[in-house]
Amino acid sequence: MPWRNSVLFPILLFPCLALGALSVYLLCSFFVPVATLLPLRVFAVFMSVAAALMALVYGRRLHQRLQSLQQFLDVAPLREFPASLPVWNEDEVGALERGLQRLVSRFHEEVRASQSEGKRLAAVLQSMAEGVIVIDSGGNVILSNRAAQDLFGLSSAQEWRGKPVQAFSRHPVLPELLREVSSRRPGDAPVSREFAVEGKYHRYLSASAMPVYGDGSMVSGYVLVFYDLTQIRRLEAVRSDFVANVSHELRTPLTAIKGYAETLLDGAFREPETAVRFLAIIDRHSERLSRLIDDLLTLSDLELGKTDLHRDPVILAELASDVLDVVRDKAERGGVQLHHTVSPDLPALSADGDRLQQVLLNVVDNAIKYTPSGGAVGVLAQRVAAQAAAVQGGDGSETTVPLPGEWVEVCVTDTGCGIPAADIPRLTQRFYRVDKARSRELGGTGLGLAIVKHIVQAHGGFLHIASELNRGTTVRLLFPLPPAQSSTP
Amino acid sequence: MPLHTDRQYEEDLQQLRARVLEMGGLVERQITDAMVSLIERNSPLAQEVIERDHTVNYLDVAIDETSTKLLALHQPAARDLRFIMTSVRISTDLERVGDIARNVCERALELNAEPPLKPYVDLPRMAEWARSMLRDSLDAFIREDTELALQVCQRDDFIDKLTSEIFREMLSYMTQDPQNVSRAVRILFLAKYLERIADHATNISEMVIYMVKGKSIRHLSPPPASV
Repeated sequence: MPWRNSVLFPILLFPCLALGALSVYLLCSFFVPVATLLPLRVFAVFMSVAAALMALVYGRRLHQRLQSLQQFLDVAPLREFPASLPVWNEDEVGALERGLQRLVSRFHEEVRASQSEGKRLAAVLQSMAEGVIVIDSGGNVILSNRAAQDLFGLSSAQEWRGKPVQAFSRHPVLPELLREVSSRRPGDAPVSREFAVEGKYHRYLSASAMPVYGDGSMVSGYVLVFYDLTQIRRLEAVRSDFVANVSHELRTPLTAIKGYAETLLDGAFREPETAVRFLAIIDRHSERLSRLIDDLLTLSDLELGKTDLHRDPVILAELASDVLDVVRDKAERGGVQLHHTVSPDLPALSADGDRLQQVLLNVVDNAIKYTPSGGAVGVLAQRVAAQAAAVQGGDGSETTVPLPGEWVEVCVTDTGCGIPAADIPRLTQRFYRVDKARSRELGGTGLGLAIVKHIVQAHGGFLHIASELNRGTTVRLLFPLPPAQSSTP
Repeated sequence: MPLHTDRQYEEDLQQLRARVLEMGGLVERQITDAMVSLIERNSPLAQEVIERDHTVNYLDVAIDETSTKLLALHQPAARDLRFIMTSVRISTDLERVGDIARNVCERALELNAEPPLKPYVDLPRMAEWARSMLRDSLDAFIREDTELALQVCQRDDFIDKLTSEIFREMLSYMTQDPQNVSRAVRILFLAKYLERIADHATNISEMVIYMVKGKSIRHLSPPPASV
């Protein structure tokens, strides 16, 4: 820094000026005559007064600068954006001003960075599907995300910080978990436990805990992470149910086949009449077995979405009469009358003809099977306008959804034994049978309606079953008509 | 809980609360498991519950000790004093509920040794109701929620109704056939036990109201509509 720029320069300059003027006056008073002293005296007084005035002005200025510096320091950390500090002079105070300015803007940058970091972390935490609770070593909640509050059925509007962790769950597994984890060393894997939450919300959870280390290896708190296993457990149950059902269904015909084959081997083959009867039974059961396996494969393809629909224009009138031709023989044997009505203005439906035939055959076959002699089965196909349909959700509950646009409705009505209302929502579940003994006796696999539902849904349609005990059942299949098609008659 | 300058005091208060809540969680599980052992006729589980009862008793003693220490060393006043008194009383109630869970298991062991008299219908309902009362009373303690506590006090009637229903039903079984008497009496005991759990839950709720509001609503019948 050049010497002129130092604060010392004016501080020393003004007294020197005054002192200089005074000493000039004193020196002169010894050597010059008194008459000429007056202007000198005036000059000295003037110089002293000027020096004092200049010192005053400069001092005030310095005081103001220091004051504004202090104000700046008071205010700057509180403000959102860094305030600017004017630099008046390039002296020591000026350097101080610049340094402070740099310091404060640096401070603001840091604050902003940590704020956005905090916001980012909060966003991550809140959007996590897993419940996260952070507690201090005293067991009080420091942080909890929304998923955690939802998992334990707590309102997210309330403030949970500072509450004991037991406000979330008092399950004895948690204290055990914390005790176990507190004896861990830094770097060890987290400890996990599974437990069931009782109460309004019955859930299976997996909790894992990790200690948070403060100074040194002191545990300053814990992070608890909760995963919801309820859905997985439910799926596991469904799967094991399915496996049990399949095994049961496969074993039934197999037992019969094995039993009759053994009897034949034991000597029954020597009596031709019995042997033929037994072979017929074996044949019937192996037929059933292969049908069951076909159905299972179809269903699994449909459920995996592996089946592509080969959509072609399908004339429903032809399809219906084809299907009725197939079952006519069976219907006549059972003494069931068949009739079908297809309204003439029905456009061709863009659908997979083979699949559609499978659906209709299945539904009509069911209708005939459960209709006693003297009854009737009718197929009615017509266009219907926009309407509401009750749709069965996955859990068996019914919701009504509005269906805009035009639809093709295929109704299969019978005058059979009907279905109890309680069973209707479960009809399309795999292997579900209303009357187990009877259905098997009639040769069903228990998969028919599940397949029907999947095919109809793959076509964007709906399946609806209405029934009255001992009066009959109506199965309605709804297929959407694309807007372009609905305008042509 | 307001913060105190005395760190040790603060830590002791927190530890007391944590112990009460841990005991609550344990007792809730004891009841759940006891009912499962009864309904699913699972005798090994019943045995397990009986053995676990000593943990509950241990916590009861620990809570007493911590409270005595706090009272003697710090002479707390006002809210802290009420909190400590409430903790002591809640732990006594919880200890009793723990004993009841044990009793349920003892009856379950006896009942499981005989063929079932009838499928249990009302008992599980009662147990669920009593357990939800206990759960809510402890929730009220944690959240210092007097409204929830008051609601628990008002829910006691349903349990009493179920108890008298079970009594009538068992009476008819006993008059039908003297062979039923021993089982029916045990089921009656069970109903009484569950009713007692609800009573203890009500006690806890009343203490919570005392703790938060400094006002006792005990022995008021019917419970007030608001505090």
